[in-house]
Amino acid sequence: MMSAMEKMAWSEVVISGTATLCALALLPWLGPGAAGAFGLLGLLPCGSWFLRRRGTAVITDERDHDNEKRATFLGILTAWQVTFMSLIAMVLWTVSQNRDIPAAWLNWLIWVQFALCYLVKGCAFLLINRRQHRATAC
Amino acid sequence: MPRHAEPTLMNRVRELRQAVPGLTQQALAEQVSVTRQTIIALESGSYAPSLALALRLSQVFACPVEKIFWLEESTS
Repeated sequence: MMSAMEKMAWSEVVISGTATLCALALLPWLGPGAAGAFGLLGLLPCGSWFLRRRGTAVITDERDHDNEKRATFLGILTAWQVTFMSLIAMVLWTVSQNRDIPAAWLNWLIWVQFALCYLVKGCAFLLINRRQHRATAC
Repeated sequence: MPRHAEPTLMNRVRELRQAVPGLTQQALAEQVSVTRQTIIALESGSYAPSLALALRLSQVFACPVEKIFWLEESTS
């Protein structure tokens, strides 16, 4: 059975993945306006519903917090790298083309790095947890 | 400068738990205030517990911490 933190990680993966896919799917019709689909990221706090207290049962513990810290670090690191690499690419493009950076690109960059951060964080948490659960329960 | 391999933290939590009749992973988890998944990870050796958890386990098994956990030098 999945722990509360695993359910929360799954919700992060599903919400950020769905938001990205919706934005990409709407791009041919809405153009830059398709970035509005990233508004689905507003559902992310709903994942904390899995962490609600249920009597005296232990919902999260030190291992969950350790794993979450590692996963968050990976998520932020990835988003940070993607943001800066994209900014470098944009600067090179503007210099080589002698044009301004379209505002829509920056808008997309901000949304994508948020979605990517949560997507990587969720996936990393699930992978770290899976690695620790290899033992058979008895 | 040569780097020494980190010693591995080993434990005999599973052995001690199974020596107590009826002590399931869930029951042990409840006694030390962690989730059952943490006991599974501990028993498989894939998780190094905090000092507080190690002390709580030693209380439950009425056994010194060093009898439950020990460091093993890596051979590689």
